[in-house]
Amino acid sequence: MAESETKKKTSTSSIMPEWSLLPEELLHIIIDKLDNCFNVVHARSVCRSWRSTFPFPSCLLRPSYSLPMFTHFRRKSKDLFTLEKIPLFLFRASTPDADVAEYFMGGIGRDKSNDHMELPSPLQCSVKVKLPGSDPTLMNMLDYNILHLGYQYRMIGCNPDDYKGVAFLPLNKEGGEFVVLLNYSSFLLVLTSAEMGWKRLENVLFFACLHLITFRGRFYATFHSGETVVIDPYSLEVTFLLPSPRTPVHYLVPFGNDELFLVEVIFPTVGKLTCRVSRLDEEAGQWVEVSDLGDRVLFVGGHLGNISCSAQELPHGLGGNSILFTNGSGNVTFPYKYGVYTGNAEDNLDCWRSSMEDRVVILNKSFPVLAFKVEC
Amino acid sequence: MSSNKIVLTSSDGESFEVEEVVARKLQIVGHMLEDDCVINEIPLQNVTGDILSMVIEYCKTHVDEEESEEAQTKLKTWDEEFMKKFDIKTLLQIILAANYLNVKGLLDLVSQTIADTIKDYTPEQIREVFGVENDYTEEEEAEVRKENAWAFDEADTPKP
Repeated sequence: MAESETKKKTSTSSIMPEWSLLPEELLHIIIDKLDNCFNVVHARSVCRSWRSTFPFPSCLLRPSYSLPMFTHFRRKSKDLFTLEKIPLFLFRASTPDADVAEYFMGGIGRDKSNDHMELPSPLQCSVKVKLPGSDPTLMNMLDYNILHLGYQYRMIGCNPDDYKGVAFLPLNKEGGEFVVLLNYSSFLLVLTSAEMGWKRLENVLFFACLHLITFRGRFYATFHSGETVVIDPYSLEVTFLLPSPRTPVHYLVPFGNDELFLVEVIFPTVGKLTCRVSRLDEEAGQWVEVSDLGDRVLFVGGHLGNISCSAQELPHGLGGNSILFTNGSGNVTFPYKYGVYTGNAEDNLDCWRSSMEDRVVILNKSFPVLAFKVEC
Repeated sequence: MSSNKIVLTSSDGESFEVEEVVARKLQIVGHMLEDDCVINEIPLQNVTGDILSMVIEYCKTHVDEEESEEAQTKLKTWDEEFMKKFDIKTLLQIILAANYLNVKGLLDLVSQTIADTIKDYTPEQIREVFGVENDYTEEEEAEVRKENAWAFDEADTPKP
């Protein structure tokens, strides 16, 4: 064993951590275990060899496509449209106060402004947030738990009054071929990379598209007139999903690639709003009403589109099995839950309604972030 | 299980006599035993004795993968304590060994430990802990700083 002891000393002193010598598969195993992509950016900032070893996280890339303007529509814009894929993130302070948790949700990109707020010029990642009416602040990424919420596609250059949303699907793995659906002035327009021109989506004669999303490689749209449809990206064939929503206000909320939910808002003649929630039975092409969302939280109605995440990602804050409307008129709201007892025996319990737990104060609703705090 | 003994020999000639069930936790050994069941001494070219002894310690502890929650919790605590013993250089050698010897549990454990070390640190702290020299020029480092400045999107404005 004495020999082994001397060996040990020589081996540890002679072998420096040559990270570039690690087989790539091992590096990938380590990278996969990092909490979030900004940890990878930090690792890339250490030195030249680390920078070349750790690839830039693909989830932080913002690929964009130049698309032609309309030719059949009168309201033209001068330049090309730019379709941009924007990564969405949720930030939560890692050391929250005991009774309040603050969240920031928004699209993230490089800070291209020149002011860079020459604080101590940290080498670690920071994100600038400028809420309307206040000075910009720098959030140090190491002080936050960061959750990647997926992506939002945005069409830049559209007349904002007419632009209601856009959805993008690649048609092959390389992403070279794609199809784009645009909700413009309540019409559904389609563009394929093969044709590079806009046309009205046929087979959709009903009016006023409310929401347009993608889920598991297909488009889903809902209409003010009360239809929900699935649109095949290859054939553009339109199939109705049944039963149709019974109210004009409804939202499509995907939970990753696992589930698609339909949230219908019911306006009673007296009393407060209630909701009906269904999940998609993809095979049957039907909505199935549900009374339980598991540990999911749905964020509905904000400028980022409808988003959901697991309540495990929101410790000390919102509980699971709840819906938070972020587009209400007031700044104080409560999550909607199923079967809330209102104190009035005549109120229906078989629906979703505003609970009185977990008061949520919305600090900012629109760009740049949805900011809110949960009092618990 | 047979209590057959296997002798594992490291690249620097150190020998370890272990139970066959323990040796089989090293999948590389498992495959050799399947190919020829009469082997009882196995040379391992790419691992030194001091690192091999750590791997064997891990395998001995994990030889009975009990399903019960209590056993799992106990193992997890042991894993945490085990990892605390090593500095980052040793962890690097263990991960290489775990990969070569094909000990999946240990590979997961060490890579998680390395990832956990990275994730709480600023790039400057990572340099310190991993003993990595900052070889950026001033200009390059300024570029890195610029690249690490992120911002939440302002309202959509047409690009100039």
